[in-house]
Amino acid sequence: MSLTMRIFTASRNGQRMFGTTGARMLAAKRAEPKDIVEVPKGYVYVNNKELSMAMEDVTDRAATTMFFGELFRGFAVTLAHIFKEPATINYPFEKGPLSPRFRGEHALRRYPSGEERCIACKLCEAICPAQAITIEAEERADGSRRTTRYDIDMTKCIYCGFCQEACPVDAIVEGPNFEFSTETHEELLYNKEKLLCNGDKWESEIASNLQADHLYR
Amino acid sequence: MASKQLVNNLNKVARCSEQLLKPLTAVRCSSTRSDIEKVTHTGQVFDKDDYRNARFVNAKRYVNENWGIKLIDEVPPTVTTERVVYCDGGNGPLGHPKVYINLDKPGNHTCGYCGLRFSKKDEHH
Repeated sequence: MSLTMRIFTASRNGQRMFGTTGARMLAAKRAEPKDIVEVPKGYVYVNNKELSMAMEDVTDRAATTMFFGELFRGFAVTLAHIFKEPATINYPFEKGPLSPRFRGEHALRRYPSGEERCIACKLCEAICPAQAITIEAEERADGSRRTTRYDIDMTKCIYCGFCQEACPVDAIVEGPNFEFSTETHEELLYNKEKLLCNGDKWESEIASNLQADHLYR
Repeated sequence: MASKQLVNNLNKVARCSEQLLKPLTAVRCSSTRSDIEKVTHTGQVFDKDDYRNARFVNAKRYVNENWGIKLIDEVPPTVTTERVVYCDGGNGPLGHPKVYINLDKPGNHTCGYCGLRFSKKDEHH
């Protein structure tokens, strides 16, 4: 590895490394190169120096051209890159890092006891700018207030995350799943069953994301 | 002669395809699919012949087996001697808004958010 790194640095800085000592020795004798054009005040021309026509410099330039010096430096860069770690990932099997605030597929969460968190306050329905959420509520058999219907039209949803911000009990969340493409439009009309299944499937990830972010909310 | 053979072959193909398609139609037919017959926790289930089953022809009908009403019923009520208890769903900021519950009346008192039950043990003075 260290050898390849040395090739890499040498190829990039070769000119400077090998050129410096000779140039420094000559700098004392050699006159300052002349400007090609007159530079107006307040402007800087980058390549405004005439090439030196001293014997050594002319020979150096000729040698670089004749022996394909730049070509070989390019090959050295290529060779060094072969031994470097690739920047790509093997996508379906490896995934890039995700923020705990990532807003992906929706899920309805539960309490540790298994009870649904959603109490049908309808704040998410009210705040949804795309009006993608539909809720109907009714008293359950044991007297608690829960939804009988919780639909999200995922094709209307703009993934703004307002629903999870509005939710007082963290029931509706946008989880870390971003791979939920379907073949038909109808499959993206999520009902409560689908959302609860999502919640059961992704609970550990969602819970750790909320735990990581709870101080900032 | 050739046409007769062709007709024969067509017949054969037709018979074969009937046999081939049989399992396929069985899968397609909504009445034999188990997910169509399950009842959801909201009580939704369509009749075998209901036209609304058409929406599950190409898609799975998701039914969540974990009914909240059953799961919360399995949690035994918390018995305390306090007159007033509070419930915040556990886990501090990851639970629900804290609510105070007065236990003066006899019997179980349910937290309106998470459904946990509390009751007061009678003290004899």
